Amino acid sequence: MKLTAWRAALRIARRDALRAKGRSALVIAMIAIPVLGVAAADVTYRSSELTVQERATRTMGTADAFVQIGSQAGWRVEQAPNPFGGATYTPADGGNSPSPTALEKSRAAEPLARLLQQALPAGARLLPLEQARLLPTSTANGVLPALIQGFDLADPLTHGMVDLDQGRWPTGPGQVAASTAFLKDSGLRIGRTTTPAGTSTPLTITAAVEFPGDLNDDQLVLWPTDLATVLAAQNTGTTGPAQPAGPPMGWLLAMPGHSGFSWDDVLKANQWGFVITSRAVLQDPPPDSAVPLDQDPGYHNLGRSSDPVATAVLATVVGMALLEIVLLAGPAFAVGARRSRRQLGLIAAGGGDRAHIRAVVLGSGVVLGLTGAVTGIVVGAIAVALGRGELESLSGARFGGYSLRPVDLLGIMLVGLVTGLLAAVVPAVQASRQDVMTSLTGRGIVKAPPAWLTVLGALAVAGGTAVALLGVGTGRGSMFILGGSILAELGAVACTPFLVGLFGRLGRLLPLGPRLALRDSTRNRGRTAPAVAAVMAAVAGAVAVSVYQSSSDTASRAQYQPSGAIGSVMLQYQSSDTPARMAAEAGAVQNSADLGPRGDLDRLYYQHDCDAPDMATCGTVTVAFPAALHCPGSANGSAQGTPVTGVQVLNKACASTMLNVGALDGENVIATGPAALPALLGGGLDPSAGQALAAGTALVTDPSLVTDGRVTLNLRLTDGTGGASPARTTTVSLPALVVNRPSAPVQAVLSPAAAVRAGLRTAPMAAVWLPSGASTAPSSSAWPPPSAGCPARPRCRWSADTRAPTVRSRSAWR
Amino acid sequence: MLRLASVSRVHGQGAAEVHALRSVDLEVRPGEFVAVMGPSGSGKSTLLTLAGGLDSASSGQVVVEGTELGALSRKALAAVRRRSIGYVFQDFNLIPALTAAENVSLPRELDGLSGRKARAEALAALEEIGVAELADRFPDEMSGGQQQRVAIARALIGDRRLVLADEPTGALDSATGEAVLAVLRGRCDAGAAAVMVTHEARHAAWADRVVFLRDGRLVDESARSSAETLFSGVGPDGTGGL
Repeated sequence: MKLTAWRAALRIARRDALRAKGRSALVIAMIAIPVLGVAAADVTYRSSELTVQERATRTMGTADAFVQIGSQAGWRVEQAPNPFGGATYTPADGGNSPSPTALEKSRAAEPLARLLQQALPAGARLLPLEQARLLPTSTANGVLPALIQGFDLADPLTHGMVDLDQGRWPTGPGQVAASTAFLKDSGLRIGRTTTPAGTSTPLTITAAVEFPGDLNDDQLVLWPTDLATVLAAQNTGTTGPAQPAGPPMGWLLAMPGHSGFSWDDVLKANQWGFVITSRAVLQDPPPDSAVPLDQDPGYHNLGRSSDPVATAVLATVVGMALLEIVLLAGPAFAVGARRSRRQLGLIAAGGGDRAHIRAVVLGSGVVLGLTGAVTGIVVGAIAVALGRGELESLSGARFGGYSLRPVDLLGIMLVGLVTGLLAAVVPAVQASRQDVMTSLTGRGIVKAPPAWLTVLGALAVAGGTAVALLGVGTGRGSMFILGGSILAELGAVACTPFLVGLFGRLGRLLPLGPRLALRDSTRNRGRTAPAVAAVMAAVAGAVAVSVYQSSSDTASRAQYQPSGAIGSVMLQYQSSDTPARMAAEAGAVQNSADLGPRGDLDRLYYQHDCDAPDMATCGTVTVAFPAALHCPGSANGSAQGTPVTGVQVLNKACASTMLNVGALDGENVIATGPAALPALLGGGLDPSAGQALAAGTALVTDPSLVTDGRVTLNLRLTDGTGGASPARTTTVSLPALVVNRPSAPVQAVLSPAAAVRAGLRTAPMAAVWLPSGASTAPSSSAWPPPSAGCPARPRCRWSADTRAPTVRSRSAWR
Repeated sequence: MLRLASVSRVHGQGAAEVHALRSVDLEVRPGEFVAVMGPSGSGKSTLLTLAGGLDSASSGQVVVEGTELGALSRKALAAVRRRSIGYVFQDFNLIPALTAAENVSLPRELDGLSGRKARAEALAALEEIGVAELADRFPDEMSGGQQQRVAIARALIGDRRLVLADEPTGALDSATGEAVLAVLRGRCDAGAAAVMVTHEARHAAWADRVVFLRDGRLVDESARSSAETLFSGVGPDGTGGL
């Protein structure tokens, strides 16, 4: 068909669209709304994307470079010119573990200051950025965990990393800058004070600052000496040896006269184990041939691969969405073509052939698709511009700028255009096949759908369903599921004329209005079929999602494990807490309300504490499963680390192991005294249980774990990384008393004395209370009503994992 | 220009079979204005649709400017309609979304002529018909008579020399109808051929020849003078008559 004919067709389509404003608005909206969403997402993403220079400014302020230690100071490192993406590599001698030379090992022992002096150009000025710590600090209402850092904000090198919102920069000790998020969350303002945990000197807030990359974080920037004081207080307060303050997180570097940090300087610093983010290198990166990292086969063997499945899934989801739009918009074009039937007949009488008629209807698709796409893009872009502040707050970072990428938007526009075009294809073909005289006279002939179409559709439905089920069965099938769904939906479209015809026979049973509507739908199956199929697919999708959510909910209820008795209160400690702090925290909770007597829970370990800072070796204690409780398809009766199947989920033994029993931080056997039993296992326990516990008998909550009146504990020693070296396992057998509490948070309870006698060690884990007003019912897998155990105390809340009101140590709130 | 030889058209099958035309022979020469008359259901419109290639004959031949329409593909048939045949219907002749000039130029644009040239031809056609001032008006901004004149202009644009008009004055008042017929008469006098279906004798009087159909058969044919006699002296000027 010639171009002039297309032009005439588009002219007719454009004017038709203007004449039928309601129908046009409907189609435009159907296309514009998804385009709006995609365009807004694109503009948001592109605006939030920072240029390397913008990113450099957020990382290093106005400095010439940001210096960080690689895997180890002194060990040679290779890096990309732009190391933001973590593109660094410590050369390895086979395998993936670094293999330092003797020289590098000797360098690693040298003082950091000396290494820096040798690695960096002479005259470079360094501003250390100390390691940030998340610590509780006092607020107007109590305490709030805040990220505490220490550097001199008045140094111009930091400007850009941190922006002053109000007030003035801290100029000395005792002054602190707070992020606007901290001020909002803490209820403090400039001029008020805050005291980090472990110190007694209040710090005066002099500035409200904004970290452009972390808008929502509660942050404090202390004077460096104040940070040292805070860290020292933290270190001396721990149970273990005092932790060294550690090297700084990095250094801001200024070259003399801001002359720039060259790529050669970077390579030299790499030799001494430092990774450099250089502003000059970012602006003018070296050729690939000058980057050792690109030449190192070891780095390229690390398996940096994209995820083609994720890409394919995304493409399929987008395709499915497009199909839905096409199916919904198609009937609108079919109605339009029918309304224009005489007009199309006139064109045919005037010499238009089938291609010309198709072009006119397709032209509607082009016009409305293009209008919808452009409308969606414009509205999306405006929406992002107007809502920029909210979006930045949601994303937690300031945009680099307001960025419209023409290529992206053109692509989105094309998708909208193609959607409109696709929606018009079937009506166009139908219109072009219309007999000229039928078009001119307005007579319509109802034809039964061809049998082959129905059969083909049925086959597609069956095939698509089979493919989707295959995907579910193999457990690797998002592609199969989505592909099968599309095939089945297309099949449904093909079958719908037949189904509509079947339903049409019910018309005689209906009152006049519905009968007319049904007959009209039956007579115009061409436009009815895609609309019905689209609604059918949407309903099917909604039902599938509902079934999935309902099933998940049921599974969650079935697998629910409480942390303690309903109404109990628990204070969990951190392993780094000192005994004094634990006592202070427990005392504070005790005094905050009438909680009744306190019980203490201890975690158990074998020889080596898994929570120790060095954790060179870890000794775990678990309840051994009898052979009868072996989880099928898993090694050692444990399903951990193995693929989860439906059989395993339903199997009690698998659930016991797979779910990492123990809502108490994964501990499934603990030590405590009789006083804690009501809060832990619920009321109604036989008094003999407490006596047996005190006498050294283990209380076991699941009868199947006890054989001949004894329970066996597995004592396993692994290396600190979780088992790269062969584990050593021994067992210990203890007399056991069954307390039938199958949904209790632990499987076994020992007294601390019995644990020590069995060769185990204990460490404080939590304090528990069971207030007198709380329920004394045993721990139950049934969810309590929202009001149960959670009286109207302002700070009482349901914990996310247990649905029981808990009080956690302040440092655990993070 | 147009020749129908033993043309028959049967609609439906079996009990529903209807013989719309039965072995009709008709020839229309260039410059000739032929009126087709007959009662309702006599096959007048069917004859016109067959002559225009909008429908195909069950048997017989329809030849337009030497081309037998029955032997053509759909595409070629459309091309013949585009280049050789112009249609004028009783009403709703024009495409509402296009101006008068665009309506007239549409067949030429579909044929591949550039927009500018097609418009120039359309303006010339409108000028010939005497409605050049309507060029940029949309159909709903024109009277019925104006629309019919524009339709005649469209029927004659390009090399078209055969106008098929199906009761072109049926929706018009008498004066306007006479004016439209005068235009048609004028185009035939200028060399075009026209076949007009009408059921009004005074309109048929504008024709050179009148053919009568009854039950699908051509039952009578009269020359212009005979027609005038037949209808008691109704002349081309519309005076006198029955």
